[in-house]
Amino acid sequence: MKQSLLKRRSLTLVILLTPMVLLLAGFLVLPVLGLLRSSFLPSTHLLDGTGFSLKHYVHFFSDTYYSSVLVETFVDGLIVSLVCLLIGFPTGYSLARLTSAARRWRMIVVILPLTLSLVVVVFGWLIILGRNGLLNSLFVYLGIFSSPKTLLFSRPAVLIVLVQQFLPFMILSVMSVVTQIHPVLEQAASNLRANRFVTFRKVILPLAVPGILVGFNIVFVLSISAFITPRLIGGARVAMLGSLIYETIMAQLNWPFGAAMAFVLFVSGLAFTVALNALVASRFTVRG
Amino acid sequence: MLALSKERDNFVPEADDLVVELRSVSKYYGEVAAVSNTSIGVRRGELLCLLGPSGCGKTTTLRMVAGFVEPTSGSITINGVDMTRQPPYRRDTGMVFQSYALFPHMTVAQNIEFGLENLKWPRDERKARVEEMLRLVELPHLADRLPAQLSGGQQQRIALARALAMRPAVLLLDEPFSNLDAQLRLRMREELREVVRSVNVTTLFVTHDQEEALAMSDRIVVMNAGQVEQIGTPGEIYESPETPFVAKFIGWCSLLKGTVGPDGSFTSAAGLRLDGNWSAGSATAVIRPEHVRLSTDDASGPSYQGRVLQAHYYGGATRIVLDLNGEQLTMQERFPFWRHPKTGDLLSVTISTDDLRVIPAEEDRR
Repeated sequence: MKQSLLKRRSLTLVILLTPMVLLLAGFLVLPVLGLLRSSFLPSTHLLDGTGFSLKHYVHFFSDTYYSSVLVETFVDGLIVSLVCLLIGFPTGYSLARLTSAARRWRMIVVILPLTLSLVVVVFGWLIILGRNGLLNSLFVYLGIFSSPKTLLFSRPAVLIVLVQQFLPFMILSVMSVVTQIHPVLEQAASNLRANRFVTFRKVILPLAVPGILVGFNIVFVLSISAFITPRLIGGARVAMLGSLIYETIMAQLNWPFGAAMAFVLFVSGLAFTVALNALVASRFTVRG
Repeated sequence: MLALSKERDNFVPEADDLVVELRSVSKYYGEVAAVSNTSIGVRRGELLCLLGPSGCGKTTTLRMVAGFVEPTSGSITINGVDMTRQPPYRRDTGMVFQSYALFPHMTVAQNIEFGLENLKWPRDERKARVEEMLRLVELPHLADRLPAQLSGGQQQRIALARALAMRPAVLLLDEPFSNLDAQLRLRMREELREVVRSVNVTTLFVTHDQEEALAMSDRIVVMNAGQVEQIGTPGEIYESPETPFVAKFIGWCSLLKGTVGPDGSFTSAAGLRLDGNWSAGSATAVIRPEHVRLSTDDASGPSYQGRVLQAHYYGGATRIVLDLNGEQLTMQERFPFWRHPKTGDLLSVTISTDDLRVIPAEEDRR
């Protein structure tokens, strides 16, 4: 009886999961495996040829240009994630402490940028940051600049636009974890002689770590794999691995080398987030 | 410990040695007064209870003492120092929250140590104090557990230990038993009283349960609609209520409106007459179930014929609502099941007027 119930349950599970698994297997896992295979092709052109070679990986790691781009990409990802955390935590925290009625409109403001196409957002920034754009006109009018300056095509511009794009993810994940922290805990801390700073450091922050980690991971992964923003805002002067992969595959048609770079980015990004999570988890989890 | 609590039983708090003093404190939310013009003094070493129905302002009063709510007007002093505008962490109070509010990411020991860390106690003194507190609440074996691994009663004892560890001037308890089941509630009530007595801490305690208030308190503040109705010992509150509200709220009773004549006897609106020696004027008589007895041959005083309106059998006793000359009275009597009264039966009863309270109308402020 129990056995058959268990069987029925696992059957249900299989039926429910099948469409998702098929979709992912057909349109994500298989192509990615194909890409993995192609990264080992000896050819430097389209996906032709046969054989097995590590030359693209050797090329990537022997040329310091590529490894410096990889490091730069990671540093950029960390900066974007940290800035998002610094801006997003206060916002997410205050949203969480509002009544759900008061939260509704503010949430729409937070989420709205996500509903716009990335290309639209980036072109919006081009208008603001361009040579004859809003900021330049304003600064020249105010006399801060004597003549228009190049604001685009710089690393800070890329980082600012990335922060703007990915901030909602940080705000939402901080908000969802802070709503789980009951305000009475803050009162208890305050009654136990903790001022607001100590309460934040010893009560709110440790309890919010799961949400902070989720937000940090999402923003980091999205940042290191970004390619539209670095290409359009950063131009040729700012190299991030995402735009380099795009360039290699779409302009130079060098699929095997592009695939190899994609896998380097994938594996190193994964290793980095796993290590970060393990580190933070061991630091903030109490021995039960 | 035993000698200490014996001594404690004869302890009478000094009326002018106040640990917490609220002077004409009011709290308005917009136009609505949660607490209006309330003055309460908590004497050193006593267990004072704020009692009243929900929405009477008792919890707001407690939260104003803790500092979570800022009074609109009036002043609050703790040990003689004005604390009215001070944040909670500058006030010498220890609070046990209704939901206990233990920090879920800290062990039991870390929870208790938290306040001591913030008070900058040296490390070895903190450790010793945590152990002492765990022994006090008899849970030393749970020091390294997380709050989620404890039962409700254990969580409450840890919350108490956490509050007491700092040696606060006043212990604040916000409906501490409301999250426990009925049996555990009785046991925790005894335990809490024992612990509080043994460390001799001044305690301000909020409850809506009048039985809890009577059993635990040295004095009770009965609150209603944001104001103090009466402050007194459990005996005073029960035996001589100053307002009909207090009479009704504490224990079961029937309130009869009427007048006291020049001869000192009370006549209710419906004409029920009680002989006594009360001061003349309009008044309310408080008749508790124990005042109404079945007439016996040797009974003194007049006996009344009452018609049974309702009779509820509770095993040990039967609660009967009687119609006596148009007035409804509740009485409680033991009836064997086989001669249990039924609706419409006539019963002959006497009303004992010796300790019966008649509240003159001018004392009735509402």
